[in-house]
Amino acid sequence: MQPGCVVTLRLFTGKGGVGKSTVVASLALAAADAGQTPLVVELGHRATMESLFRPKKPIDFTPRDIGHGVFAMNMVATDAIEDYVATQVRIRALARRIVRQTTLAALLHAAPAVTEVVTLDKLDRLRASGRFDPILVDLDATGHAMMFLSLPQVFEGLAKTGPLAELLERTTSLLRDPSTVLHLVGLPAPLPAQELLELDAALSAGPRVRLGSIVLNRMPAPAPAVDYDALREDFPVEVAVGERAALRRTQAEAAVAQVLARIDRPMVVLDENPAFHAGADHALLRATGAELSARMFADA
Amino acid sequence: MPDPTPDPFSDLLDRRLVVCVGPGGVGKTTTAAALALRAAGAGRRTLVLTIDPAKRLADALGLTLDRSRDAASSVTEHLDAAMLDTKASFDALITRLTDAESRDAIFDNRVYQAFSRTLARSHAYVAAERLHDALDEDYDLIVLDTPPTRSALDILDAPARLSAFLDESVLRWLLDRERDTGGLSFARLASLGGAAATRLLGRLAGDDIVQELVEFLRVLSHLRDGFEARADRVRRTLADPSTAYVLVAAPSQASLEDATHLGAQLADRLVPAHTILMNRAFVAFDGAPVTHGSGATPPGADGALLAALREEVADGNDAAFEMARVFRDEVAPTAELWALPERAEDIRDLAGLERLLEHPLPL
Repeated sequence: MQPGCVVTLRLFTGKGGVGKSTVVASLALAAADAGQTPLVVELGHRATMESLFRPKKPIDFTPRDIGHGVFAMNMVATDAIEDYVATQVRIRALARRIVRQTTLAALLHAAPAVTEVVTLDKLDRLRASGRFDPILVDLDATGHAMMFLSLPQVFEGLAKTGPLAELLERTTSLLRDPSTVLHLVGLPAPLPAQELLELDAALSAGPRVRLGSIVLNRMPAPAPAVDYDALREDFPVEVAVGERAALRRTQAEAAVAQVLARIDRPMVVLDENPAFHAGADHALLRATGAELSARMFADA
Repeated sequence: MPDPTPDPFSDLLDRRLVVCVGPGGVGKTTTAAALALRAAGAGRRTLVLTIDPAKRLADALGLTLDRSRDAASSVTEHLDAAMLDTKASFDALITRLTDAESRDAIFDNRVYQAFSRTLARSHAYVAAERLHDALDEDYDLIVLDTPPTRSALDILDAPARLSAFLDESVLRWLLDRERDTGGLSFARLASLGGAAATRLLGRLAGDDIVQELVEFLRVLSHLRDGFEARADRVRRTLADPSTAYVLVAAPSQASLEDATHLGAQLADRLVPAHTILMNRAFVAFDGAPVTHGSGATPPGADGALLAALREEVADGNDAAFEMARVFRDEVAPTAELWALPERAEDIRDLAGLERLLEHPLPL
C-alpha cells in the first residue's frame, strides 16, 4: 500500500446487541484473506475483538497484528487527545505531560466533544498513512454514532480560523469523502427494523456521509411444516416451540420486506447461526466475512 | 385480594434509589420501566428516569419524544416517567442557578452550546443533575436508567468530575492571564501556569475559541458553590448502601463481556450489583423453561424436525442458564440472579410492561 492510494474507511453503526462486532470481525478476516491489511478500530474500552481474536497483548491505542492478518486498535480518549496534542507541539513527552496534567485532564474530560473530534482526526491520519486498508470502525450505539457524525455541524460557526477550524474542516471532509462509507447493521424483527429505518432517516437527513449497504443479521430459519393443531394435544411443548419459530420467521420476513421497501441500497441478510451465541470460531467468521464482502461491496 | 406470594423483587423495590446498568440491546430501559411500574403498582410513589427509550416504550409510558423539556409525565396514579435530555436539562440547570444576565451570557456562549448538545459525556452530568432534583421531589423510589455503553458508570464519576471541572484551581489556572511573563519554555508548559495554559490552548484550538471558553468558565465560576453542593449530594446518594444496582444483561457472549466490564466497575466503586436480571434468557412454555422431550417424535414428514427443534431450544435454555450462573459467580457472587423468559410480542402498553417481570426464574 503506497501513501496517496485511496483507503476505504467503513463505519458500522446499529443498536447494541445486533452483532456489529461480529460483522466487523468477519469482514476484517475476509479482507486479510484477500491480501489486504485491515485495521479494526473499536471506540472506547470494548473488548469484543479481544474476545474474538484472543491476541497475546491487550488491544490498545497502538494498531497491532491480532492474528490472521488482522490489525486492531482501541480508540481510548486520553490516548487520542495526547496523540492530537503531539501533532501540535511536536514533542511526545511534552504532549503526555500536558494531557496527563491534572487540571487540564479534568478540563479535557469534562468538555464533551473533544474525544469525538480527536477520534475523527486520528482516523484521518491513519488513513493518510496508507498503512491499512480497509479501516473498519465499530461505532458505539446509534445515539453516540449520530452525535459523532454530526460533530462538524455542532461546531459549525464556533471556530472560523485557526487550528481548530482546520481540524474541523479536515474531519468534515473525511466524512464527506467518497471512500468513506457508513453501513447499518440491524436485526430482521419488527422493533429493530423500525429502529433501523428511523436511524436511516436520521442519517440521510443529517450528516453528509455516504451510506452503504445494510446488513440484517440472524435471520431465523423456516419453521418445520407440520399440522400444529393436530399435534397440539399430544405434543404441546413441541407445538409451542414450532409456532414460536414460525412466528419469528414470519415477523423476520415482514421486517426484511419493510426495510427493502424503504431503503434503496444493497442489503445482505445473514442466517441465524446458534454457534455465534457461544462465541464464534474463526472458520465461521471467515466464511461469514467472505459471503458478506461478496454481497455487500458488489457495487463498489 | 392480596397476592399470597411475596414479590420476588420486593427488597429491590423497597429502596429509595435503584440504578439499572447494562450493555446495549438487552432491554435495560424497558426493564427499568417495568421495575418502576411494579413498585408503583404496590403503591409506592415512583419516578423512572429513562434514556432514549424506543418509541413504543415511550408511547406506552406516555412520554413525548420532542425533547424540549425534562419534566416528568404522569403514567399511572403512582408512576411518573421522565426522559433525560441533555440540552433541556442543562438549560434548566443554568436557569435555576443564575440570574437573568448571566443566564443569557451562558446561553449565547458557543462553547456552552456545543457542550450542552454533545451527548457522550454531558449525559452523565445531566443524569446526576436530574437525579438531584428528583431527590427533592416527593418520590418513594427513583429508578435510574443509564446509557447503554461501557461508560454507563460515568454517572458515578460525574459529580466528582464536574466538581473538578469547576474546581477553583482549574478556573484560576485558565482565567489567570495576569501572570504572563514570557516565552513558552518546556518547564513552563509542563507546569502549566495560568497564561501559558491559555496560550497553549490557543495554539491548539485557536484564539477565538479560547476566548469564548474563558468567558464560559468565568460565568460558570460564580456557580461553583451551587454545583459542588449538588454534586456532593448526588455522589453520596449513589454511594449509599441503600442504593441498589441492577445489572441487566442477556445470555450471549458479547453481552456478557460488556456486562462483566460494568460489573467490575461497580465492584471497584464499592457498589456491587444487588440483582442481576438476565433478560430474554429462556424460551418458556406456560411460564416455565422448555426442557428436553421424552424422545417421542411427532408424526408427519417434519415431525422429526419439530422434535429436534425442541431439543435445540432446550439446549439453548440450559446453555443460557449455565452462562448466567458463571457470569454471576465471576462478576457479582453476592447478587441475586433472575432469568426472565423471552417474549413473543413487543411491549406496546403498560400491560405488556407488567408481563415482562412475570415468571422470573431464580438461578
